[in-house]
Amino acid sequence: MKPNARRRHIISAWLLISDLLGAGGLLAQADRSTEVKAHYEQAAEAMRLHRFDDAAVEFAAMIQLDPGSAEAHANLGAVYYIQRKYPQASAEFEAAIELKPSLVKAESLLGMSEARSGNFEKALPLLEKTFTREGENEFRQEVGMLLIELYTASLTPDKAIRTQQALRQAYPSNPEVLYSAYRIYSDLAGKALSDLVHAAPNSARLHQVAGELLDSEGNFPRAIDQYHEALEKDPELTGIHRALGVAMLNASQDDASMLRAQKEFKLELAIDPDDAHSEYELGEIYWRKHQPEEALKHYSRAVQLRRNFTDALLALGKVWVFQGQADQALQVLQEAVKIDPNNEVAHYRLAQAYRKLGQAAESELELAQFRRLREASASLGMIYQQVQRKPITEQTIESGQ
Amino acid sequence: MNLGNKPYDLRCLAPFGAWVILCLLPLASVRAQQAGRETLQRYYEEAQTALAEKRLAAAARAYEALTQLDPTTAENYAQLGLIRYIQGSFAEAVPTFRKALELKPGLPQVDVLLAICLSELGRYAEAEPGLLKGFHHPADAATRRLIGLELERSYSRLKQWDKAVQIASKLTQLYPDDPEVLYHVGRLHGDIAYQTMLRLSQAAPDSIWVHQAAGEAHEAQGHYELAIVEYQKVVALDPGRPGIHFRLGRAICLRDDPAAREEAAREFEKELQIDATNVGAAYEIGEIRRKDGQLEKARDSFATAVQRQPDFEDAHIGLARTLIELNEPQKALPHLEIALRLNGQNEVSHYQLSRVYKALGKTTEQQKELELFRHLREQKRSHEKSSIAAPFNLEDVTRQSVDSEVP
Repeated sequence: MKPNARRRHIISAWLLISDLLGAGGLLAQADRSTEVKAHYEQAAEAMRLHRFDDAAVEFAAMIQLDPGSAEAHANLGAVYYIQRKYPQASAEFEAAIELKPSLVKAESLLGMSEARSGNFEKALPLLEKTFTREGENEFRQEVGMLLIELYTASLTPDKAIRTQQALRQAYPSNPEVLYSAYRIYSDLAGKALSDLVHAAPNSARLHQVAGELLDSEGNFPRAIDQYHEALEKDPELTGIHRALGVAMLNASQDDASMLRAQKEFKLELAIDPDDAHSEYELGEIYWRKHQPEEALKHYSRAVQLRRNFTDALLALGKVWVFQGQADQALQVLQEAVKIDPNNEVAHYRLAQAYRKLGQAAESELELAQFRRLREASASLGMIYQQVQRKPITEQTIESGQ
Repeated sequence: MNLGNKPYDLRCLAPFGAWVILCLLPLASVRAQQAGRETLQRYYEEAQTALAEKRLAAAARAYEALTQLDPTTAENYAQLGLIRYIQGSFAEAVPTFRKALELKPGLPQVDVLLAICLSELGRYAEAEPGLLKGFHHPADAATRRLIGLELERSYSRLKQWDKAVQIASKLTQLYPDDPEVLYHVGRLHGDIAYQTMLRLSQAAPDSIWVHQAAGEAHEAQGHYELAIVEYQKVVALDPGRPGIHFRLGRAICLRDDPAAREEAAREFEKELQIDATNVGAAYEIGEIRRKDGQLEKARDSFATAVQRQPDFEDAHIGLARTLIELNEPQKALPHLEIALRLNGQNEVSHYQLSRVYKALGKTTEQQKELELFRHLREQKRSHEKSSIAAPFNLEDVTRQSVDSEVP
């Protein structure tokens, strides 16, 4: 079996068996060479069958016959590594490197083994060397993950982030790499907020955060209380009136709530006349009040203030489709998809616009895209609310009905 | 999505604004000599008085008149742009700053102010070069903070997450206790985490990674039953996965159901079978055994944990309190000393140390430790009272506490 094929079948740690044949040639006696070969074949078969204890016995026998075989030490180390016997693995890798310093894979595995044993100081330089090595590097992903752990443990988040970014570039769709990114950023978000709790325990910003967290949990009445507290601390804090208005709309959509929310958006605009989101929210209120012309004015102003405002573009599209101006809607919806290709609502509304224009094939394509995205986001559901705050009333396919 | 708030407060702009105004005045006076001196002088004076009295609209009107009377003086446009900027009229400030730069490209800081206005208008790509320049060569620390926050937001909106994170990191270094900075940094990281999760759920919707992340998210929010379901899905997909039995055991423990302790202990045992180096699992077994009164077993598990990870503070405390219960205070002492070297502010360590001294008959030392314990506990309580609950966090292990022991 060729080394590459073997790697596919076993585990990435498996490394040097093919080199052993060369090492066998160094043996003085032919009969010992035959014995080594026999153990090698047994070891290879054991590895193939994932019988790692047997493989270890065979490699150990090879070392007994030929203690100078760096490859046998390295392979025994690899077996121990697979078995998570890290101190033993490290000892074998060290022996291999001492015998043959050019064994770069053994060096990489030594770093990994030391890291997994908790010997961070010894592991770090070895892992850094492996991670930055040019050319074929089958351990790069695993080493990158370990480096992130080490950097995080040693409170050097910048290095952890840089490593994570390099991994993302190298393996953009790898689930493990994506998961690791999620964890890093999730932890960093938690840390920043925890620092905020300690640095300014009663600040307006902290009340805002508390409000946002409650908001995202759907606890709108308590979120509203927190936003009020934030405003008490700092009446001029930008964004709070808007957040309050959004929470009010989320809490209830009766006329009184809409009126109160409308007042908050206007107060926000008094503080910050260019707040596109408040303009957009006013548009949403008029849309709900069945005043599409008024809504259109506010949505347009929102887009005027912020060209890349996807939800405002979607809202414009919604009004124009409703008014029978599908061609005009098409333009803004295409723009929205360009800005945010993963926005399911954008694809849904675009499908509607195409359908109105009689472009059935295009409509179907957009609907298919919408279904794919919806399926993916459904699995997220409410789970990740703590990191996903919604500062505006997002466009939904329902709000276009 | 980061549709957050304006990352600064206009009140922060006072030093920046004052700096530009001071620079511009002498130049403007020179120009004034060249065209209708008296009229120009009158408008300048009007403008200055209005600015001094913070009547920005009147100052803007005066500068508008000046730009009409003297359309070649860049400084008039720059000053008018600045006033509009302070008024929050960014759309109007942009052409004014542009005109100033057209007349005099080297006018200091005007390009940075223009960039901030563009950023405020959502024209992030256009804003980037000016913001970068301002961030790396700021007029002062307050300006740098402001521009940094603008830049972080611009990169976020452009979905250039890596660059946004770089700026956030720099801001955190420069302003570690600044609530505004911490708020925006937290928000940025939260948004990236969500975006990443979305991508993961699209790339591998039924993978162990999605279920593990979901379990962790539930656990962090205190929804332990839901977390258990997700972790069990991971176990079903990959029973030998390192770490997953530990997480499952933790979620079971966190339900705070004494009847479920054995179930949790089984998960930690499974974890150790998969990965004997998991010190957290050894520690948790110790904690369960200690609470169940199986002190010898607890001692052994804690000892394994501290042997494998000598800086494991809670494991040292757990081991020490187990040794106290086993009437071996002398053996407990060094573990508490290590725990306190690792973290001198841990009230639990001080409390346990007072118990050790009591058992050893060292009354003075015991009193001293009790005093320290009471002080730290009071401090902690008053902090908890005055602050909002900390945001969601995934705890690594069951923390040592004193609640069940203090009278």
